[in-house]
Amino acid sequence: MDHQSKYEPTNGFTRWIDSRLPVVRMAHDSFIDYPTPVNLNYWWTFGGILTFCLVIMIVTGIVLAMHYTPHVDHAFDSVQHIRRDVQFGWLIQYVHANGASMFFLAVYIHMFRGLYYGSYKEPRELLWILGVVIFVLMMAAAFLGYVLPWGQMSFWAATVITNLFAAIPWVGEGIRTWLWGGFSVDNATLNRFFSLHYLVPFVIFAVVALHIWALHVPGNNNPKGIDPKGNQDMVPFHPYYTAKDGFALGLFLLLFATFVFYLPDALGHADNYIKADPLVTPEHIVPEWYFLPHYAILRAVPDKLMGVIAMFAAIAILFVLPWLDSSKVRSGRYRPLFQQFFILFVVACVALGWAGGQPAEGAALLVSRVGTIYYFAFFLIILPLLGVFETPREMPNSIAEPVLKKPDSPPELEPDSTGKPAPVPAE
Amino acid sequence: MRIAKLFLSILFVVGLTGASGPASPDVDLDVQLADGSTQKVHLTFGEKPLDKLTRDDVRAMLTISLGDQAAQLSSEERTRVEDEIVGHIQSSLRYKKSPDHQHWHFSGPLGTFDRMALQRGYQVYREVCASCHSMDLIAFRNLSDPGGPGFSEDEVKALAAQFTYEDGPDEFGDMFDRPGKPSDYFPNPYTNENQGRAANGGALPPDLSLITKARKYGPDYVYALMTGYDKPVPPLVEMQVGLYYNPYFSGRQIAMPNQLFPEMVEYADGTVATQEQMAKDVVEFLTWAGEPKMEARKAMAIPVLAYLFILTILMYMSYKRLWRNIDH
Repeated sequence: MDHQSKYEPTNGFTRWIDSRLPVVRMAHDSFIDYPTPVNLNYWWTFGGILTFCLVIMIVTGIVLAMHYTPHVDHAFDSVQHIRRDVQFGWLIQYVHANGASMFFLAVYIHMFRGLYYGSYKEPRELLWILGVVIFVLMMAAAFLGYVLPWGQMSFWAATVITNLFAAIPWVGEGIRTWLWGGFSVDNATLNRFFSLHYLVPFVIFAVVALHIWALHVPGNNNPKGIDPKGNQDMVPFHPYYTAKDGFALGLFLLLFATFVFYLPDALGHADNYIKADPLVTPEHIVPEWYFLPHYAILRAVPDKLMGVIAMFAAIAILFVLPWLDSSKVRSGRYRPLFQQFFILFVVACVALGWAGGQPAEGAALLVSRVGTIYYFAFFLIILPLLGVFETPREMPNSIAEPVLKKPDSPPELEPDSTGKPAPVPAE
Repeated sequence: MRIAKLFLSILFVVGLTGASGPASPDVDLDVQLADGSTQKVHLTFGEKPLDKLTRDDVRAMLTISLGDQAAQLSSEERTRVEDEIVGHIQSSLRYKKSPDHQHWHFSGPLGTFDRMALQRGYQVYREVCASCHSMDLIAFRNLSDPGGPGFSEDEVKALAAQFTYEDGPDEFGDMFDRPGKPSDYFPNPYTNENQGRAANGGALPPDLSLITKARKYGPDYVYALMTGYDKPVPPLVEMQVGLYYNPYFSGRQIAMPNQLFPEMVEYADGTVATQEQMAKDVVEFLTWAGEPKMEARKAMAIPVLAYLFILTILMYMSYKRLWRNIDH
């Protein structure tokens, strides 16, 4: 949000810095004095949580890389060496492995929030697109990282995913060989996956910086989806939202720690404690939970190439979401029909996740097909048409002002995040 | 009228995976007749569990379910339909049983390993399992690590010294034999995998270092497997040569015969070595081997969670205090 910089260098040194590279001023304007809508609820705390996750993953990852050996004969044992012999290695490794799951949990909530409150709409299209770029990079990092412990699921996940590229007509097999660095998933594959797994998080870090930059130009969206009209609608980011984000982060860390310390293997798969064996295929090859919806979409389509296209399209469609939604109303709060379809969409995503974990037959296959159809219909049919046919609820004039009361249509009085009744005018 | 073709799915309605439960599930068959009509046949096996069913039971049930049409079946058709049903019962009897839940000393947020059980478990591994199963990730020194079996360093030295390791080369370039040291990893019973396969009819006994983590239901599974050999082979199951019936194993046919016989080890602490006792002890030991830092993990959990809990409360209070005069 454009605003007058209130940073005052307090001594000679900071004045000297400020006149040459105003980096302290930038940080001050972006994270201290940055004007933020007053009504952000807890769904808005996941941006900070995600930044924290990224830092945790990079820090633990750097330490793990000091002890890990990217070689097919040693990778599996070197992870166990970290668990057994490295000082606090067990802790660092569990945090890293469970951190991936926590990262995806947070990013999915963050994305659903953006979807519900219309955070992808004008003028925040680029902000949304950069977010989708980060999501794609996260998926790449998670997949590459999952291969590194070189257990059975690592190996077979790598085999299944790289084989998807072989479905591309004419060039597919060549691309697969190029990805493998040989004629099967082998040492060359493991080496390059390690190299790329180390690279991608820093790319993510850079795109996150762009994401925050793109956020700070138009400013935060908010649960009402209307632009702040003045100072009564805003508070400085620090201390108001640092405190709120800090509290939410505390809750998130409690969940994170519960997994790390009490359920460290609950989100993983037993087969990955068996060393990779190209000659033995596991009974069920299942990805980690955060890829299950995509896996369900892949298997919902009977044709392999079409399945691959559907899976990638399910992600790619997010890039054009800002132009698929025809409604001018940002927040789902004032869109009665959209709310219903949105709840169904969340249900469809969860159902796809369930179906992706089952063998592709019977009820699970049916659920994955219905879920896939709804997933695409939501973006391609429902969102474009809804803006035309839906009558939005009456909206308040500003963030600080309540909805004008009308006798025939009771205003939508949603309790805010703190459980207090509807907002009252400032002053 | 002849029944021409039996096809479509045979649906087992309930609980196939827990197949040796109290009663056998019902079976719904769609039988297509020669004139193109479809006959629904409902087979009820009554109270008899799936793993007690015989071919005679299947025949009897088929006769009852088909009613009037039973007489119109040619003997070939009857055999074929019976085979179909038996085939499906057999395939459902390949689903492994879920192990019963056991209470372990290490269960729960405060669970720790029982030192004496770990020591007895090591004895069972050494005297029974180790002749076929390696444990490559465990060194003798681990036996005296904190959170482990709690052998003293002298005991560990003695345990390691029972084995001979090839070392070298020495200054003349020759390999030499020496007694084991605490830093040595447990000796592997085979010089290579092929030897292990050859010695065991083609099935390589898996390394046990991570066995309780590498199987679903880990400790409960290993315990059920080690004590699961007393179940009679179901009449409809055709055993492969050289395999043993064990309902907890994937496919229910396992190359390892029963290993734990009462009193086969003599515990130094006087514990009676029943099959259940030995199985419990060795599972305790294997669970420790799978995660030697489990006690460190659980010990750190409480201070970390308490710290985070207090921090979160303080964050909440400061958040509330900061926002108390803000209308939002």
